[in-house]
Amino acid sequence: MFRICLIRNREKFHASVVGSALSSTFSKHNNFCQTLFSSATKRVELLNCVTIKNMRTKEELYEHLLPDLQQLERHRRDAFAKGYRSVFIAMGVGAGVGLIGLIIGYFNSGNLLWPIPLASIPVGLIIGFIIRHSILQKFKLIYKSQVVSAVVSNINPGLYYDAELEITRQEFRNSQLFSAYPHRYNGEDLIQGRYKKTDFRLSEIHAEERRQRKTKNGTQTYYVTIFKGLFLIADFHKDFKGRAFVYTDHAEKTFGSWLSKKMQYFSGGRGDLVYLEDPEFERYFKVYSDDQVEARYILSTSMMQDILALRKKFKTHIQLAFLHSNVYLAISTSIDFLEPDIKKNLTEPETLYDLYTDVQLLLQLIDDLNLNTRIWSKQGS
Amino acid sequence: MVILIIISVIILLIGVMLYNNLISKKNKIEYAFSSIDVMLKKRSDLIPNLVAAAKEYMTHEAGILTKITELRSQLQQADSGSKERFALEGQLGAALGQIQLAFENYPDLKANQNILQVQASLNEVEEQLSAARRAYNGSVYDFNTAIETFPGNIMAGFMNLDRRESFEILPEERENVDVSDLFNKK
Repeated sequence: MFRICLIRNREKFHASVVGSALSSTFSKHNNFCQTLFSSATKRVELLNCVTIKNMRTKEELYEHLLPDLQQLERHRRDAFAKGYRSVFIAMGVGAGVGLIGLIIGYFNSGNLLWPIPLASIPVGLIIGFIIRHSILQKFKLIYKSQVVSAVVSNINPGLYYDAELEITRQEFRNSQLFSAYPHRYNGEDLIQGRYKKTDFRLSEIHAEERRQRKTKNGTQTYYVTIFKGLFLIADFHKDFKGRAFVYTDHAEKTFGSWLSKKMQYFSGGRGDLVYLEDPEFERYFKVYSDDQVEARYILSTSMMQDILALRKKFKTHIQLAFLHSNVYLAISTSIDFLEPDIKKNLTEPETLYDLYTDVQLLLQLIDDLNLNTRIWSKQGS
Repeated sequence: MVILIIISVIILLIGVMLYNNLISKKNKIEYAFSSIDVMLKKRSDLIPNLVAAAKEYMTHEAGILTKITELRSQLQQADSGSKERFALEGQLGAALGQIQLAFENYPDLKANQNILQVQASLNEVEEQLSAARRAYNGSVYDFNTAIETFPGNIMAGFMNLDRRESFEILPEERENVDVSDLFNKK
């Protein structure tokens, strides 16, 4: 059952891969499928494949998934209990080692070797929590591959979800949004495919730059976050040739309008500053582009409103790049989307509905930017 | 003496910078204006396709189609910077808006691939036109601010630069035209 489902998923994936931008991750996905195949026999008792007829209401979906959810709920409790057990055991071992240290010390030299229990108990605790984390992580992956996938493809059959994949580093670089090189780059929760008329890829990303500083003991390496949050790449609904960048304008608030305008001239090779007529938009954002007319074609008055609304919705910094006929949207947030709450009962309908709302919120991004309005000559192919 | 020379060199340099800055702003207006011109031409180039595709279906609206064709030929003769030209463009924009509204009455027409294509191109060119106008207004604003604030105003006085007018929506386009009224015309 499980194998069949994977094969189906793979076919679905074939269908949803459109355009060269999307094909780069294909081989990665194939490898992922193969690893899943090999471990399939181990998990088969747990992973009762979810075959879904599409477009159920969330209540119907809940009914449909209930047997799987019950099984997963047992697994969750098990993982939860196992997690704590491993913490206690590891701490116990730590305490045991400490006790042995005390005894050996007492009989050998008459001195209690206090440093041993002082070190071994915290070390035991840390090891315990690491084991607990990996047990929970394993559970979360299984939950995501079953339930989140089911929710995503229920909302739209053309969509594909993978908990372990992300927008690639190269795609992230291609956006030209951030000039720093991401030496450390992680991500998860990739959703891709076609939503209504728009091809897109969306995932969480954490990109960090490596820096060095001199200390007394030599040079120290540390990492600075370039971007953490949601990253969307979608086919833009209008044709354009050049580039346009929309950044949050930090200076406008701090230094006022006149001085910030002067400061904005430094674009870092992203073209000229573009003044737009919407005063509210200008207050929060600064725009650079190679082409003044095209920038306004991309950032129509309604698009400016959409971007402002998006900013209000997420209450955070958002940045956009328009190039290669795509829009790249970066929403800085430390919220981890699509994660199961390990303390919540999975068989409660609310738990599934919350997840459903989260997925909808993510897909909504494409509607928020009005990308499904295809009234210009660039049609959704 | 040396100080005097230094001061006059500095004043000269500032003058040159101001002069260049104003000229570059003036050129930007002209550049933006030329992009409006390009979009307007692009729009009128779409007209033969539109008329050819729509004419078979829209028997009742033959009047507007003829008017659109006429406007196009008048435009080809009009001087590109003249007021007359922009008045004609305004009328053309309004007529194109009406014909697109009238499409709604013809379900067959809405299914026609050619029409859909022309309509998409029209939407696109209108959007580009509006972007070009906004870009023009943006550069006019920039220019006007530069020649009216200190010290640009002094330089602008020497250079005989005058305030430019920004683009306004033409009255023909602003009005919500009564479609039936237009259909009754010949």
